[in-house]
Amino acid sequence: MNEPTPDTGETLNLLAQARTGDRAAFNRLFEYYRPYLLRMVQLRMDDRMRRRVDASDVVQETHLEALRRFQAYLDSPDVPFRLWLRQLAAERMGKLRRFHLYAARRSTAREVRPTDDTEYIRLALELPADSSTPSQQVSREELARRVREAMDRLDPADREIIVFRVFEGLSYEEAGYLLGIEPAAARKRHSRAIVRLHRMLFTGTEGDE
Amino acid sequence: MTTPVQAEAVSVESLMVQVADDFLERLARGESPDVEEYATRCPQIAGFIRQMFPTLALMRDPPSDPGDAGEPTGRLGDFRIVREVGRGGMGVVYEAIQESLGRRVALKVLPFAAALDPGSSSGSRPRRPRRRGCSTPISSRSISSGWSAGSTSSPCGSSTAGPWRK
Repeated sequence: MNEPTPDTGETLNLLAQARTGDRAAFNRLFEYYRPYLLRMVQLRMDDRMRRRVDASDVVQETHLEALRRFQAYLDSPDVPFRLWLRQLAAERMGKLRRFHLYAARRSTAREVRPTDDTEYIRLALELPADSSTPSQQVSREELARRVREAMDRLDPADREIIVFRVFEGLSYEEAGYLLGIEPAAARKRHSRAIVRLHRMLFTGTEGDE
Repeated sequence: MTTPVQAEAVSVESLMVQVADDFLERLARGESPDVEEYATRCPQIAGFIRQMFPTLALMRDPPSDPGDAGEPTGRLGDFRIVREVGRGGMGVVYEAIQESLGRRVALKVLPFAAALDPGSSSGSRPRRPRRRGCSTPISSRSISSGWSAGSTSSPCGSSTAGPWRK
């Protein structure tokens, strides 16, 4: 099975068009990756943020920021394009999170502890599912609960690669880029992580046999 | 050196990840691949497929959030962004269409204006206007009538709402 490269041919074409001054190319690029960015942002919003902010607004802010910095990106594209957008969205999320932590500390006396990125992934599995019968809904919720628990118990490195690959749908090239490892190593890590997750979920054993 | 038993374990594991990857790629393309088809094709790992693929589909399934559904592209509230006009120390100016009034405006967007407004909500509470900055019709930039503005307080300071003049 051939893996997509960090930037697909279509993305590279549009970037080349943008370099020739085609203004529509940026919007087409952004629209192509908008669903991904929305997903990536939704995954990382906790309840508190969700009450205050729409994921689509964060994506919109990312859009404006990307537009603002697009020329600089074209001049020296040192990151694959999707990961560049991801980075801009992550910066937005970081600012929002710090702000909301601050706001929460101010408004309530209870301690609010900063959390790492993957902790928010649990919450994505708590969102209501669409279009399913009540019994499917129950089994889906039960499965989501078990996945959440298993994800919590997984080793952080395993959890990270599963978040990149399964939840976000990044390629091994992209995941490898983010982790600073070769795509083949990312694939190997993912393979181990999936097998461990399967064991935890369905065979009741932990770790390697 | 690997013993035959180990080699078999490695190949089963590599088959698992190979079919799981194929399944994930198809989900990413928006397809709904049939789990049973995979189980039939790879009987030696059918158990893994039947247990794990619905789980992967659940993890991959974009959470549904009615508030985010059908968000039109390139827009900020009532404004549809057409292009960037210019930028300055206080923000970026875009040419935009204010759709409720059907007019072309210059929209000044201050950093983090929309998303940081603590008054905004995707829940049942009514929304406060959360556009910070203001806009004036491009056709009459020097005229200070007909601008819209929202004001907020945020960690990056409060904004003064007023007509923007070129």
